[in-house]
This record gives sequence, structure tokens and C-alpha cells, in this order.
Amino acid sequence: MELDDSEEKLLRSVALQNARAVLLARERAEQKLWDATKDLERKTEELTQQREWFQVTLSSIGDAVITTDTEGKVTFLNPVAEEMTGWTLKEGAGHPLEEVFNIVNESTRKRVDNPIAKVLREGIVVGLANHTVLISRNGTETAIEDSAAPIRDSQEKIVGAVMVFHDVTARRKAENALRRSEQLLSEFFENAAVGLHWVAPDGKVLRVNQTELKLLGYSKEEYVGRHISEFHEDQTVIDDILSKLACGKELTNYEARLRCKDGSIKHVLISSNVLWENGEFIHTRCFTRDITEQKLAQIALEEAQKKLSEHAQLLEKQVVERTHHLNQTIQSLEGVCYTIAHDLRAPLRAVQGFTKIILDDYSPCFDELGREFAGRIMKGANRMDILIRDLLAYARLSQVELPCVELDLNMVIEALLQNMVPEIEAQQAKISVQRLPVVKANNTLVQQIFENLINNAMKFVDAGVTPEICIRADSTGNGRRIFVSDNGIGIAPEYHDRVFGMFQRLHGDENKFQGTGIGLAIVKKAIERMGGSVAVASGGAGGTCFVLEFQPPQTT
Amino acid sequence: MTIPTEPIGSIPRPPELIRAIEEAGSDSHPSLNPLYDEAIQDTIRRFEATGSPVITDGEQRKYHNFWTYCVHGLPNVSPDGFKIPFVAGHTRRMHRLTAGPFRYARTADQYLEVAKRYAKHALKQAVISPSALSLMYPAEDIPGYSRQEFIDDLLAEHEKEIRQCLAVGAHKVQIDFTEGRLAVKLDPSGNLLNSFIGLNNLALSRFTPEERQRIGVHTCPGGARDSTHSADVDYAELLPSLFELRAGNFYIALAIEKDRERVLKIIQKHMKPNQRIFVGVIATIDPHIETAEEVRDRVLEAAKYIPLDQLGTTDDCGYSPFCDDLSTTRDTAFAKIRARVEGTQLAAQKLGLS
Repeated sequence: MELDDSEEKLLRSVALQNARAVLLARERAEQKLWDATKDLERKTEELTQQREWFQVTLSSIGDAVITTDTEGKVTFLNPVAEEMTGWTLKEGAGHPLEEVFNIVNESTRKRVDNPIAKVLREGIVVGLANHTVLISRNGTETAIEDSAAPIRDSQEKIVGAVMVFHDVTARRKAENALRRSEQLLSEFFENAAVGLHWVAPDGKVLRVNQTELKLLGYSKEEYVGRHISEFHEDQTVIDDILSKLACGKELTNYEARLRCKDGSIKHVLISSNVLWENGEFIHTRCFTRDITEQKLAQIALEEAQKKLSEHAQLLEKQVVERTHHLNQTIQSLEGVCYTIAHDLRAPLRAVQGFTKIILDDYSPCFDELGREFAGRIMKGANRMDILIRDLLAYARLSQVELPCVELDLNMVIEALLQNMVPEIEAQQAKISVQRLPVVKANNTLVQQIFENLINNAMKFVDAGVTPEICIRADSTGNGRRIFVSDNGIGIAPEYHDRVFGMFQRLHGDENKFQGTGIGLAIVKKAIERMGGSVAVASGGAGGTCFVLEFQPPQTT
Repeated sequence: MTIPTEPIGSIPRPPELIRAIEEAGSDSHPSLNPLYDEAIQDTIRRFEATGSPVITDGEQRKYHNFWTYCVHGLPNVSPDGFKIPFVAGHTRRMHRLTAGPFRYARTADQYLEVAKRYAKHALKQAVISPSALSLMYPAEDIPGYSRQEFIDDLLAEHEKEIRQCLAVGAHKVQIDFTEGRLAVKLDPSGNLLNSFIGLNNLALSRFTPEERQRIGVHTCPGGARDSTHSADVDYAELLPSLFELRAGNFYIALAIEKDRERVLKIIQKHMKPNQRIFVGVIATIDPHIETAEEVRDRVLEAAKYIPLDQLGTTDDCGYSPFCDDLSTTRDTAFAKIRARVEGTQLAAQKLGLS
């Protein structure tokens, strides 16, 4: 059956109208396709740029980056990854990751599971196991660390995985070094010869070593966690310690007393400071040195010293008392001596007088021997007279009041030498006197001193030697030191200590060098009476040099 | 490798179902549901018994016909559309759109969902082409709903139907493009055919190349009641344009052709590398049940012109594209299908493919 014409015409009309509509739809679709194509091209360009940017970025970053497809086959290695694995991108692309990225455990050397497999399987970020070592193609080993993550497209579908890792060799070495260092520190802490403990900011003990525990007798459990003040005998001391440390002060050999578990006390020296981090008090570091034995010894010593001091004071008091008593005795004896000497002179005068009468008036009545004996009596009496006179002079020094005044030694010496002209001329002595100072002294005593010294100097010279005496003042000192030197026979050094004693005669030949042995004793007594001193030294020309120290004139 | 073989779609409904529908006065009366379900299960069971690796539900619920199933019952259509004449002397009248917007009343994935419950073999699903439905818009414009808007809606509905079928798991989605020859017949200049091809390509271009490998196009003279509406149109006028369709598969009625080798040569000349050609080896409107050997020979004949990796076999057409078509029995249909399956296997053996 055929369609009638009108039906067919209508159908054709509809179909052709539809065709025009289809054509328009097609044009629109083509326009849409064109727009979509342009958009795709733009996006492709953007994607290309983005891809290049990512490539450059991935190539520039310091970390190694490997990407894989969903089958775990390598699609990309950046230069760092190339260097670390020994595979170039060209060589590695398409290879299973396990071939390119060969990782083992640092310690066990067992192969480490490929993290990418887990990433692709579970779609999660996976970190590498600790202590992972990457073995490169040429066998070089590198300690690495980092993680792998899935790569997802815009529909969150996993399209691959990326692994980022970096060389941690240096860090791992540093960590190992740090670990060793910490171990050493710990060993040092535990085995230190001195006690060590750390205290937290709240005062509680954080850490303690065996030495300190042994010192105090506690176990670690009994010590750690408790407040440090519980172990201190003196609350004020630990309060002060903690206060100072909190202020940033450092303690050195701070004395404290710690209470042992058995109740006994240990004397310790604490040296401590605080570990601060960014201004935060972390903990103290306290060194505790046991000084109990030293402390006890010190206490005993102090007690002994105290007793000794008391004893010394007692002794000194006794010495003072006895010295006073002795001085009184000496003074008394000197008084007796003066009295005796003074009283002896009267009968001696009688002896001398009557002996002179005998010799002068009754000499013819005696034979030669008698006269000789009378002469010996006279000679002995004269010697006794001299002796008594010297004794009187010596005794007078302690018995008579001899006030000291400002005295010009030049005038004193000049007057003295005037008086001694006969003796000086008799001895043909040469006496030179340089400029002398003004001193605080007694005129009589000064004359006595210099007379005795000059007489000695003229007396104790070898035969045929002209005595030469020099009196001068010290030109460098304070000018109160006077030197009297001669060219005599001198005094041997071993006798220097004895020369100022009473009746000390150092030259045995009495006929050659006459004397009573009191002269220098008078010199010493006289100068000391004026607050001065005398010493003897060997002279420059082999004689003797006496050094006299006088008080300056303003001395009261 | 073997030679794939697939049916076109429809299998005659059981007579008791047809009677029940007539008695109910409506094809959608709820009392018919058990019968529909039984017909679907029986069809699938018998289909799978033929050994056909790919089956259909026989379009048991696509009751009215392969052309209007998706618009039947819409409030904005009237049954006074165009009459499609068939050689045997009868006509089929299409629907006419009376108002916009154009929306499908139902989509074929609903049939596929039901069939999946019972099928063990891969299921394919046939859908009507946009070009066929485009004839629903009348000659005069519908006020407030332009032809252009209609075309846009038509493409959107068609795309949605195919996507849903693919999502449900269709082995193939086959677009029935039986109006190709009709277009040539109406417009020998080829403009109308090209318009149909263009419209269908607008739809196909919305799919990815991978998706298009699961989409095919079926063309035939338009079989109904063992007759055709345009068998007198030469394939030489149709096929060059047909292969411009962006589908991965072509189901081409061939068994009914008087000079198959001539058609095969045309196919050979115009087919493209990424297209698989399922040649019709069963003349569905011929009451004669082909033997496997006959089928084998037709396959071997086709293999001379079509590369084996692009060759497939099919039936020339559905066995009952219209619900009231009782010219072929179910037994005959399944016997013919069995012959196609077996004959194709024989050919494959002969060609050393299995």
C-alpha cells in the first residue's frame, strides 16, 4: 500500500522542517563543540603551563619526588630523585617502583614494603618506616624519610601516587650523635662522683643519680617526685637556694645540710644553675658534694683553735705578768746594783786614797816588792773604780729619769769631741763627722753612746794602725739612722748577737784590749731607753759598723 | 576470537497474554502484571536455551511497538500522526505531539531492570531513534513550543534513556533506525536521510568513544506482519550515510535481501575500521526456519567481505515489533534464533575461530 499524496507530502514537509531544525541544532551543537574545543584548548594550554610549572617546581625543590601510575609504575622522577636512585627519568619511566626505589631497613637490611602499593590500595597517605635506607642503582646508600600519597583527579579518582622523600643522612647522624651524647650524659649523670639532681620549677625532684641516693640512703622512688625541701635540714637555706635560682643566679659551693633517710645530717656544697629555654625555667642542675668529713674536721679544728687561743691568751697574760715581775726584779736588782756600786765607791776611794798615801808618803818604807804590791793595789783599785763607774752608768740608765728632747746630734757630737780631745790626740785618731739629724733623745745618753763607741773604736785597733772613725747619717732613709764605723779589728759575725751583753769581752787578751765588757751593753740600754735600737755589722774596711736608730723629734 | 551474535529484540508475545490484554481493554491493567512477568521469564528462559550468548526480554512489555513505547499514554500526544505504509498493504499510524514540552512517558531501562532479575546471559536493550520520534512534531508549529525546543528535548530524553540503560548494565544498547530507508523513499535526494543521520549523530556525539562501542544502530526495511515499509529502497542509497553514524555497532538486515553479495560489497566499501557489522543471517519475516548450515553459509559469505574482527551476526529484525503481530510464533522465533547461534558457531569453526 502506498501513502496518498497529501499524506506523503505532509510527511515530507514535516521531515524537511525537522531537517532544518536538526540543521540548526547541529549548528548549535557544532558551535557548542567549537566553544568546548576552544575551552579545551585553553584548559589544555593552562594544563600544559601548569604541568610545566609543576615540572619545574618538582625539578627545583630540594626533595626527591617520584610519581607512579595506578599500577605502581614510575611516571616521573625529579632530578633529586634521579640522583638519589641512580635512575634517570628516561631509564626509570615505566619500571615498577620497586626496581627504581629499592629501600631496606637500616638495621635489619630487610626489604621495606613499598608504600605506594598501600597508597594505591587504600587511598591514604603512607609514611615510610623509620630507619629506611635507599639503595641506589650503583649501591650507594642514603638514609631517607618521608611519605607517599595518592594522586586524585577532579572526580577524586586515584590516578597514581606520588612519593616525596629526602636525604636524612646528616640528620640521622646528628640524631645518632645526639643519642650517643645523651647516653654519655646519662652515664655521666648516673656515675658521677658527686651527687646530681634536677629539680622542676615546682621544686619537685625530676632526676637524681646513684651517688646522691647513696649519700643520703634513699631509693630513687623515695627521692624522685618529692619536693627538694623535704631533704633539706634548713628550710631557710633551700628557700634561699630556690629563690636565687629562680632569679637566674648561679650558685657555687653553697653550703647546706641534707637530711639522710636514717636521720643523720650530711654537710654538702651545692653548685647549681637553671636550664632555661626561651626564658622558660626547665629544671635546675644541682651538683651536691659531700663535705661532711671536712666540715666535722673544721668544726673540731675551730674548737681546738678556740681552746688554743684561750690558752695562748692565758700564756700571754702569764708572760706579761711574769715579765712585769721580772722587770720589777731587774729594776730591783739594778737598784741594788746601783746602790752597791754607789756604796762600793766610798771604801774604794779609801783604798785608793790610802794606797796613794802609801805610795806617795811611805814608799821608802817598803822594799821593792812592797812597793810593787802597793802599786798593784792601786791598779786594782783604779780598775774597780772604772768598773763601778760603768756599773753605775749602766744602772743609772734604769734608775734615773732621762727625759728626751729635740736634740741636734751635730752639736752633741761636737761638744763630745771637744771633751775627748786628749784621748783622741793620744790615739792620733781621725774622726770624721758628716751632717747629722735632729732627733728626739737625751743629751747625756747620746754623749754616753757616742763616747763609748768612739772609745771602743780607738781602743780595738791593731797595733800601728791609726784609728779612723766615721759618723754619718743614712742619706736614703728617714735620716734618723746613724752609722758609726771604724777600721778596727772588727767583730766576727758569730758574736754579733752577744756583743751587747753585760760583761761580754770578745777579745781574750786583756792586756792588749782593756775594758770592762759593759760599754756596748750601756750603748744598747741607752738607745733603747730613748726608744731606739742598735745593731752591729761588719765594716766596709774590715772594721765594725754600729747602726743606731733614733726616734724622730716629733715622736711623743 | 569467535564471531559475536546478538538478537535484535522482540519475540512474539504469548497468545494468552495478547488475549488477556484484549479482554482487559488496556495493556497496563494491573491484572496483567503476572502475565507480563511470566512472559518475560519464559522468554528469557527459552532465549538462553537457544545458546544465544546475548539475549533480550523479547520486548514483552514494549507492548504497543518498538516505535512509540516511550510516548504511549502521554497526555500531550494524539494517535493521529502519520501513517507508515507497509508492503503487505497495512499501515501503522504514529503519534502526534500536541503540546510541549516533550518528555518520555517511560524509558527502556525499566524493561532491562526487570529482565536482569531472571537473566543469566548478557542482556541488550533496544531503544527508538530520535529521528523516528522527530516525526511526532506536526507540520504546523505548536504554539509556545518551537520545533527547535522539541529537538533539544528529544535529544536530551534519548541521551538519558541510553545512559540509564548503560548504567543498568546493558551489554549493548541498540538504536532502532528503521526509518532510514523510509527517509530515502520520501526524499530521494538524500537530504532527509542526512537530516536523520545528523539528528542521531547529535545524540551519539554526547557519548564517549568507549560508550559508543556499547551502542549500536539497527536498520531494516521495517518489518511488521512479515511485511516491510521500504524494502524497495536500495541499500546503496542508505548504507553510505548509515556508516556516518557515530555508533560502534551496526545491525543490518541482510538475509531478506535478494542480492546479499551486492549489499555486502556496499558494506565493505563504506564500513569504517571501528565499526562492527552484525549482518542479518535470519530472515525474520520468512516463515522458513533456517538450518544452521544455511546460516553458516550466510556467515561465510559475509566473511568474504567483512573482516572477521568486525563481523557479527544477528536476525534481520525483531520477530514482533508490533504487539499484535502474530505472524510468527514464539517457537519459530526461538528455532530461528537457535539456527543463528549454531550456524554462527559452525561458521566460526569453519573459519578457524573456535
